Amino acid sequence: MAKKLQQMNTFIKDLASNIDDDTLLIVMGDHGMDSKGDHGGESEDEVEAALWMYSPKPVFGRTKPEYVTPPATAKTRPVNQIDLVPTLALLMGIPIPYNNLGHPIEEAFVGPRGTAWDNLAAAERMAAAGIKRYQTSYFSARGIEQATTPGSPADLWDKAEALVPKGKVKKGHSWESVFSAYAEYQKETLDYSKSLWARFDVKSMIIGISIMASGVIALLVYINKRSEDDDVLVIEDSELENAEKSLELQGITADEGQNLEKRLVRAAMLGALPGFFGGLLQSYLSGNGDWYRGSAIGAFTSVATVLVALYDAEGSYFNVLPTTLWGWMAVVFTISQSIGFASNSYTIWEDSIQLFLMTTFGLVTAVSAFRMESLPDRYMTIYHSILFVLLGRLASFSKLCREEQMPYCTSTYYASATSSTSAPWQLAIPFIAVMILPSIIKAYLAPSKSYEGLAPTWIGYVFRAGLFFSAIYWVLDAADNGQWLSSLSSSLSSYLPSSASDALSSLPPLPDKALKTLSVYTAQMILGLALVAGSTAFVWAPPCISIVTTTLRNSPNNPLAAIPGAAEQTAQVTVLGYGNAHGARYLLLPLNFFVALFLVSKPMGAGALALTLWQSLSLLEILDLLNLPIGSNPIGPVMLALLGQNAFFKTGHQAVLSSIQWDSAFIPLYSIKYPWSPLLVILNTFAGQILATILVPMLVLWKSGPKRRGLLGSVSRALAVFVAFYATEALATMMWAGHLRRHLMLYRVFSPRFMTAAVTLLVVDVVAVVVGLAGVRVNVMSVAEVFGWAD
Amino acid sequence: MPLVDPVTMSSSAIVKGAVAQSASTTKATSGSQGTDSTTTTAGASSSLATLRPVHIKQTPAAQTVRHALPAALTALYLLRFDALVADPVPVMRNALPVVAALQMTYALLCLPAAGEPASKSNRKPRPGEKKKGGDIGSSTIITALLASVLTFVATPFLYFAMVLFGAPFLTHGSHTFLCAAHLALLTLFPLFYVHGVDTAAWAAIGGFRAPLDETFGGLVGGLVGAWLGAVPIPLDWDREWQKWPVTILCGVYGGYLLGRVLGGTLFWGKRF
Repeated sequence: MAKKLQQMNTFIKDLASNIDDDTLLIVMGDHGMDSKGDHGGESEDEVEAALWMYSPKPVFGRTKPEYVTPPATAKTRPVNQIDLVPTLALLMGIPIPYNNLGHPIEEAFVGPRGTAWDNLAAAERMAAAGIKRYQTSYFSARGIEQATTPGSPADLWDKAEALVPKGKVKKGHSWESVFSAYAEYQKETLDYSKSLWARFDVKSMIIGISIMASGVIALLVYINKRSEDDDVLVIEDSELENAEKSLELQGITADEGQNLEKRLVRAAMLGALPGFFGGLLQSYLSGNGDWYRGSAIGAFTSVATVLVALYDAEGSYFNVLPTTLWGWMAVVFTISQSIGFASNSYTIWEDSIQLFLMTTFGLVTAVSAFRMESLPDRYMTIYHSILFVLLGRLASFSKLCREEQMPYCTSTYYASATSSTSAPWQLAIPFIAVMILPSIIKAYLAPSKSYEGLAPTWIGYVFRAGLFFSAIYWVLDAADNGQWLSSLSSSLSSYLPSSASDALSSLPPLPDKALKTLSVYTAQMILGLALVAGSTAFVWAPPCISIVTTTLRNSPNNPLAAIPGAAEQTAQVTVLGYGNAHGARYLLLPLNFFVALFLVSKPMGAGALALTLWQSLSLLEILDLLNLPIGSNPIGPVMLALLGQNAFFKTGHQAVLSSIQWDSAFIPLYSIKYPWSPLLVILNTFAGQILATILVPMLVLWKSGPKRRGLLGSVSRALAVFVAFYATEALATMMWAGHLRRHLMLYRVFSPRFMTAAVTLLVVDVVAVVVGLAGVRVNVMSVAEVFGWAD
Repeated sequence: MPLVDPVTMSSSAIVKGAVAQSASTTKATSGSQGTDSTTTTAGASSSLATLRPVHIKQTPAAQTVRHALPAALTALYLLRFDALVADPVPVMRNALPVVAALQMTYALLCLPAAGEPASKSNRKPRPGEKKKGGDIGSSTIITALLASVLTFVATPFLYFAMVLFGAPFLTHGSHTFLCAAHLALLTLFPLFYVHGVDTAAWAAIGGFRAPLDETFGGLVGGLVGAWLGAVPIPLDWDREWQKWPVTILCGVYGGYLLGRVLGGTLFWGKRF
């Protein structure tokens, strides 16, 4: 460090001795540094920097003899950075910029002997007049009357003007007081502007963070509560069943699990009411207009009643620390990321960190595979672990770099770093997905004999067709954007003999918007197929099972033969797909939504989404093989949340506003239509998280037979864990953005990440309830219809 | 949910997690079919109990080397650190033979070779008995050579593991590969020397169920160190030592040495 400073010193010495008389040398730091070497923060040491101005011609001076020695630190007699603007403008003899708020630096205008107060006062008055002009037009533009109370800028201006001598100036006039009066005006104006620029409503921030924190706590208490219930519910021994049946006969229902959610929802609704109306009333009476405080107080009382209701529930206790390795991993993954959001580096490189964490999960599952007794299970677990990691790494090649990642990142999402259209080779990606994805899904269903019922038709034809037409859509879109048709016909005519090319050109040209029309129709058809027809089919579909009847012949080793009175031939009914009755059927719902998300994502993003879906299926297999019951283990939902969040980055997004793909609003539309256009942008932006949310119930339903009970409760818990991940991230980013509100990177890194987290949480919440829980309910009813269980 | 059990289904309860894929019920009488696919083959569990922590040979040479080598590795790392930061690839390449020689010495002098009866090095030599633990026979040298071949074979797998964790794939190939080679040489070579290709032993190591000793402790430490070594990379401190793969290598060496020393002393014989 000392060496570097010596070099710099020599450099400046050389420079200073070589510049001519008309040159001004300014040496300054863009920021300071604190004792730890941190910079970019808001502490004084980090904000203050040195300023040194040098001219060979003696121009500069000091207003007081004690100022001759420069101060030890920039804390004494600091100069605002904005003061350089009028100073340099006046020194160069050019007008001071219109919206300047700074004032000239004393030393530059007070003369070499430090006595030219008239000159300094003139400079100060000129800058102040500019400020005055700017302020006047500002107030008239806003339509506000300037205050003229004593001490206000307007009042100070008038006082300063009064000090300026009219007519002939007497010798010995106190120009110093004129200077001070204008300086006072400038200071007051600047202070007023500062109060307008950086108004942090700390009270509201604390209220918001507290609401979020109490919400997260309520969620965690609920998750803990549910895990105890689930441990009971998973047990399926006959004694318990008999006991339950006898209880039912006595008119006592044993469905504690379902009642809890109903009670909690009721508590949340009722609890919110007094707080909400109390807050509204209070703001009405006080007349502050802070009516939104009503919703804040409502949220508080709502969470409080939910917590009380949870506390009332029997056997409730809160064990903070996880008890298993998997529980610890879930906690560490969530917390480490949340802590990382306090650093701009970890926020910027979030996608790489997620890949790192996902690979860590794959490594740990592969390691635990070595602890399995059954060799086939061990190999399958290792296979799926490797697949899970490999697909994640493959997806990581799709990236759209944010500015701060440069130069360590290469964007691959678009044709080039400067374009926002896909490269021609990228158009092939959706077609590859069309070819292999349906077969992959079949391969995951086939082992549980669940590729039955509606599945072959829906996945093999409808799903594939949806993907195919999405791929076609992007080709049409590229052809329309790149004007492939006109360039094709012109290149054709250059190759063809003249007669043929004449014939070609005599053909009526395609209507102007033919391709756009075609692509819009295609997109509308796909969305209709996926969301309207798909949802209808999902509601009415029977379970993905097949009932096969085989006849058993009497043979010596047939035990039935020994039973007297048994028929010669016995009919045996085999239910194919019984063991995965819930999971296989529910899968149709995420697949339907997948088609829609596949369409609204650009080709590269569509490929990343396909990989995410494949990864999720592997995740399901891993969790099933490792026998991690979702009832007591949070790792499944947390991994799915991580996958979804990672897919956000892999579908060409970053936690910055500029990465929003607004053109997705026009995929099935010609112009902006509410509410469809915003919905399309949301589908495009949060495709990863939406897909992951709809897949969460699969964690419970996968490989669940019709006999599994308490499904809705378990799904609700899995969704709670899933939401808790996003809620914790939202809370963390909110806290950090509040804490770092004066940080250099607030508007570039911390605020956008908080906004992303907040909107993500909202989207995930809505999708979890509207699609996830509703889908599970429909699914349970459909399965129950076939297997004869009333809900 | 008051779920009513249909009587027909009561014979085949399939719990989530069971491997059963298809369930079938016989209408006529009791039938049990379909759900019997969970036949387990207990391969690793039986041998798990017999896998013992490795004793370091009791000869004076072995005991000296045991303490001297970690110090030598530390010294090597500290001495070459500045050069490593300046230009990682040649430094890592040139250090590789030195580290290989150190590890080879360690294995030959301190560790029981694969196939060698473990009790031989366990037993304290009786007074008057001829010390024979220190002799290096041709078979141990062959074991060491085979272990180094196996280490070489394992290196690409570690390289791919690093790529999967997010190491650059299209660039920095030699950086990552050399880093993987150092990791393999430190952590895997002693294990190959001690266990050879004993499937049961490697299944226990793969499941992190082996008892802690200098070799296995070194593996755990090296892997954890490499994992933690990735943590400072994204920080915008603009330090030279943040370049790939300096921090990883730092974690590997630090973790390996710590794991080896702690595994051989404080946590010896303990299991996860």
